[in-house]
Amino acid sequence: MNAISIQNITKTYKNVTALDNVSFSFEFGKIYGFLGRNGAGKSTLINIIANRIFTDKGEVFVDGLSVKENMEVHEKIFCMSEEDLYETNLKIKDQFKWINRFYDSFDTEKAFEIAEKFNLNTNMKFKALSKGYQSIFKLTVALALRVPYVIFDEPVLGLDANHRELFYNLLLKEYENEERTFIIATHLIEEVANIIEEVVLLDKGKVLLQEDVATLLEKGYSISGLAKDVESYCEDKNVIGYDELGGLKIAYILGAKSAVPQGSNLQISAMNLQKLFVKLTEKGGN
Amino acid sequence: MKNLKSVIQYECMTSFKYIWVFYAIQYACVGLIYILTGLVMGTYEDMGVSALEMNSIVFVSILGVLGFKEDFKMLIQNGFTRKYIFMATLSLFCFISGIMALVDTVVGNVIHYVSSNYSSMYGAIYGYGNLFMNWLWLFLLYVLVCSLLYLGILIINKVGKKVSIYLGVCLSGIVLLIVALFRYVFSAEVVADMLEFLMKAMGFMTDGTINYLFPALSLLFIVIVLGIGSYVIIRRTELN
Amino acid sequence: MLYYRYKAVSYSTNKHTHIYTYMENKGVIRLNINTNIDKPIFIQIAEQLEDSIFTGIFPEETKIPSTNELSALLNINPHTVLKGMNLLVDEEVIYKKRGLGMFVKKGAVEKIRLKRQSQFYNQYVAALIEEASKLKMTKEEIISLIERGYHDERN
Repeated sequence: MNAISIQNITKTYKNVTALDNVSFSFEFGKIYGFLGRNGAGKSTLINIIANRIFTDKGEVFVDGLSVKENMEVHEKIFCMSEEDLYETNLKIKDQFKWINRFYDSFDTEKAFEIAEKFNLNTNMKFKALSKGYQSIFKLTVALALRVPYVIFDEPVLGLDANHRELFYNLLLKEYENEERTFIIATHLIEEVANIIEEVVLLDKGKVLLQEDVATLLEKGYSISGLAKDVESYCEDKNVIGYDELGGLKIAYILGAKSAVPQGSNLQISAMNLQKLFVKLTEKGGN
Repeated sequence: MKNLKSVIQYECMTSFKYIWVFYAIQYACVGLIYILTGLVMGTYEDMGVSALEMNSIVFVSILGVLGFKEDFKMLIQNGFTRKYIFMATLSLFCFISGIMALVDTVVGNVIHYVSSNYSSMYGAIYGYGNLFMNWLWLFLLYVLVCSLLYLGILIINKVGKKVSIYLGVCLSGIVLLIVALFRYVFSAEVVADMLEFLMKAMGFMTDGTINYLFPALSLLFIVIVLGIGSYVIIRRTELN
Repeated sequence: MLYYRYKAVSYSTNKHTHIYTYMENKGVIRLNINTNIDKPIFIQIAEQLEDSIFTGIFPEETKIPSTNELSALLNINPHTVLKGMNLLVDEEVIYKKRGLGMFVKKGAVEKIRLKRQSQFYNQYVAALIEEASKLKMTKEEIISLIERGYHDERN
């Protein structure tokens, strides 16, 4: 099967379980939002996929090939990391030069083109760049690599609004140019809500939810009104959270909508992804 | 294989320029000291610098230490396996050691030829004349130093600072223990046998002749042991 | 590089993305995607494209922007855009010319008009009556208001 297949991954640091028997797949040809709160285990999983760290149990496969110490996946997957792993003394243009030698699928011309759009000075050394431009360099590399699976870990960290727009724009263009999988791990959920097709939500080392965005948005809604009415409406519903404002109560629900009983002042409204995730990950949390 | 070539190229080319920086500084210093002392003493007789190879050893040990940290990150980011990174690093050590051994052999012999006050490290131990064995010995010695430091840094990275310090303490304990064993436990005969073995390993035979091949083989053996050790550890190394 | 053929001005706030696209000799399409309302985005896209066709921004038998263009312009997943377009394909408002893109079908404007006329009762009349009864307004009052509306419109 064409996918990044994560099978029964467990990873423990000292006494902390970062990932607890996690299994799911990133299928080929989709844009994924890989979401979760800080410490949910996103980076740990990305590091495992990128062969930077090892699992205690379980294995990750890319198109059926194990990612652990396997050069066969070299041209299949690339992980842009939040951490700076690049040689800081190299000029950007030399970084491109080397990456071009490392990867058959790197498009140097495209890299310079993208760099120019972001006004990234390729004559500067990596360490001389601002935090934002370091991110820009890293995502330029990721966008110019024509590998089937590209993972972005916090790609827009330190980018201003214009550059973020430009990034999403270029990402969609690359996606149109060549079918592949983009996985975006981010905190800025609303920004990617329209770009991603499917979400994977990680919470406390487990997959809390994997769902098509449109379906999810259809399922998630909130109902507000008098506390008594809201409670009776919610009786047979999957409520993921409440907010209260004096006598007014808002319930956040995941599941099929049922009609509001006649004569009540209950109001149904849509819930955006951000709210949905805040409510989902709050449950049992803080 | 194209990938392996590119990663070896990367390792070698990004370090290559430092060799020339190193030599430029070394000879500038030597020259300066030479002239200054000459001016002060009023004569260039009876003075000399010996065993410039020591500087090279310092340089390659720095290389051994740096060989890990930065490059491991960079190469793992670019999707290389630890096996490839290890092979590339080893290639780097050989490349640098090879060049530096060549320069040091040639320079050592030339200076010795011009001014007999100067003796190179190899020359002082095994004499002059056999340029190839001189080069090979130096080369292996440099690779050994790189590998030793590389192994050291890998261990420190793997077990963490605290455990490393304990390991260091244990290691010095073991050294003391061995010394004690030699002095108090082993009989004179055993000690003599061991010394003889060590001398042979260095090429000094009991009949007073010198076997030039033995020291090279001994060094090679140690390099292989260190190499295997490094490989075993790097295969288990995680990015932190 | 088709993107640059349109001079697009886009700005976004938390809740809305407004895109004004000036197409060569074709006037202005205004696409206003609101991510905060109940309506799925692909339906919003379909509705607004339909509106652009109905108001003549995309005349019959001309090409409408491609999925790529719209996706890049609105920063929306191309599958979502395609889903919206497919709604219009199903309604036979647009059709696909192999290798050329999506085109407005002949008779599309008429089709849209008929559809909207059939929706007119539910969307406007029924809603009007419901609100009027909440406000305790009589049928006669409403009718006179409608007449006033037509009167004002004419002047």
